[in-house]
Amino acid sequence: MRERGRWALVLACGFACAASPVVAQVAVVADRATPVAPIASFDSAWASISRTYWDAALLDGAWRVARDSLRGALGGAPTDDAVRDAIRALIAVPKQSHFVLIPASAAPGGAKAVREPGAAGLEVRMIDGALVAWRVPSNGVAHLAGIRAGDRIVRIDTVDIATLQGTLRTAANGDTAKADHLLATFAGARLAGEEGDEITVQYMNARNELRPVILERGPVDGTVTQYGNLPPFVVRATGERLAFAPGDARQIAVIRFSGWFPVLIPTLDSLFFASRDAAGLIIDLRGNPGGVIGLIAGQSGHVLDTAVSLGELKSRTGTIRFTANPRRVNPRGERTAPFSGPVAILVDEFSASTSEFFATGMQALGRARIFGTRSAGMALPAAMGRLPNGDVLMHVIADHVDPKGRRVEGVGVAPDTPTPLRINDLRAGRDAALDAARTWIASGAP
Amino acid sequence: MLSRPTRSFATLALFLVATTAAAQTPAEILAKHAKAVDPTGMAESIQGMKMTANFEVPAAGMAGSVLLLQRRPNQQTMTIGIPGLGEIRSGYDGTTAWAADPMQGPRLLAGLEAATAAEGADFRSLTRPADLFTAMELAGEGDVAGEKCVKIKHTWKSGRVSTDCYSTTTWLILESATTQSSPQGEMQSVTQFADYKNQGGIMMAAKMTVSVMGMQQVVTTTSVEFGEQPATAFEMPAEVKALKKP
Repeated sequence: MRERGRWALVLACGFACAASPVVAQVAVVADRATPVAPIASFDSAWASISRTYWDAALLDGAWRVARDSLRGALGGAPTDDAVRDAIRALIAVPKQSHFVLIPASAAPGGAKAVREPGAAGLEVRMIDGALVAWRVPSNGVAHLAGIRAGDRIVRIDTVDIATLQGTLRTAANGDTAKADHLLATFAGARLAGEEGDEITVQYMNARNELRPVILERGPVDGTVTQYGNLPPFVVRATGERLAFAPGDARQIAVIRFSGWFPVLIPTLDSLFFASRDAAGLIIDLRGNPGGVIGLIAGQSGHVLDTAVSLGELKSRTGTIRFTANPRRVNPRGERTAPFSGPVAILVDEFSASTSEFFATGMQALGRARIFGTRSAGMALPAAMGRLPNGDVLMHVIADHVDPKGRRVEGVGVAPDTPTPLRINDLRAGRDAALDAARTWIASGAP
Repeated sequence: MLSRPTRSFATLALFLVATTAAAQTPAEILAKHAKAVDPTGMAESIQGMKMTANFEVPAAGMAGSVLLLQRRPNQQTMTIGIPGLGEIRSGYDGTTAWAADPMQGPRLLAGLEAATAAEGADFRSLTRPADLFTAMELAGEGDVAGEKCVKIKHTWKSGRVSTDCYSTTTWLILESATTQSSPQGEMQSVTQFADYKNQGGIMMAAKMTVSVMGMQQVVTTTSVEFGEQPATAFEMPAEVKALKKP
């Protein structure tokens, strides 16, 4: 085969993932040691990162020191678990997101990977230091059991939330925001699991009554997608129309999607094309942990009329740009123009990775206004290779900057219009971020 | 331990080996390469090609298939099918370079990207005649998987530059380093060619390993057929054609 090149770059975008596995909706079950080439796995992890990590300064310094120290401490015949601990210590050195070790047992094809994900019908967020029911669909298990948006979650199975919160806050050395984010992440993971399994939740309702309920996880609302070596994600994309105001014929299209995965592309394209006649567009990325970077080019082209860049990934061997591909042909083969009206994007602390690349890019270009709460600040592209023992190593391969040269990693995307969650809003059925975005569009999107 | 005269001869022999390849001009090396690829001179009679291959990205846990069709003089279409991702298609119909994939949607290529695509579709590049390039210069020697090679820096008519290493034993290409250019940016890539096989009289690498961003993409040929390919196979997809409408 002769030299073929263009597709290699397309695929580099397609296979570089920016998804935060810590906020995947599918639980990763505790691992079981698999005694296969333990020290080789450590060496492989170190070599993979050394070959691909973008920051030569790190590799020339702390990285080698850590390798020598950790490898030396392992001794001659380390156990699998000891090697995993050493790898986890190694990938903690850069102090960045997207360095994750997924045990073989929980990785795709592993003995303990979740095969039939189930849903408790309950998403949680932290509000004023409390773990609170955020989204509780009326047809979901939790709602049918009596849980309502705004209720405070007190216990999940045997885990007392207040006790865990105290432990996490102590460990975080006063960084309560980080500790609380971990708490909500943990809770989300515990609420996920196999369909048919039971989980006990104790909650405090609006009348301050403490209620225990047993939730049998039902089917997930969405599609379970398995992309490469990533853990399975439950993804869905939905659309709706909102009136500018009661009695106003003008409409705003709202598109919500929970992951940047190829399985959603046909639905997303359909929703975006159907939105072309709307007077405004709201893209809801709250809770969207990211996915496949390559999707940005096509999806941003629904709202951008020129091939502008939404940001760059700088690796050791070059630069990849998120260049929009303006979508000027609809699925019927007819010429059309990308949506040119006002665009609002909703984010929260669980909007991560590819969602952050998209949001900060659109914000920097002045093409969208951001509403909600500051995003996760987990915005780096990663590869996901298998180690000799079958574990999957997710590791960073490039740095990211938006069109203004801003890094989102460790910082997050700051909303133009902050709309913090409030319990009273949830209890009243109000969505403050959505309402603020609608008001902005209806007022002429100044 | 070698005696002094023996060491001298050995050194001289190494020097001669080391300078044999370098003493040749790029044109001479290309002529040997053409002969190595097409030993019986049949390439000019080939009107088309269909190739299938397997595709793998170990660092992502992904695999798929490749279908490449070519038609003399300069038509090409390639489809990469990847479960969970869909079909990544690209082509050149003799006048227009295009691409269409689920992630980006349909595109008409322009600039260097289009010129490179057209260049890749030129059937003559099978044997690399010198007129494909505007400049060639020797760029030292290399070693690919233990095999010595001599490097030529090629400046293609499109403006793309590649540094390719030709085996000093077989004169087949072992490695090609270039910078891929597209709207997504410029990225260095290194392609290694291995497992050369005689495919109907033409020597072709059955294994190609492309390194981009530290990730390897491995293409392994499963079949090659030479012969006429239907013109309809090279028509642009409808969604790409629509982009050409005013």
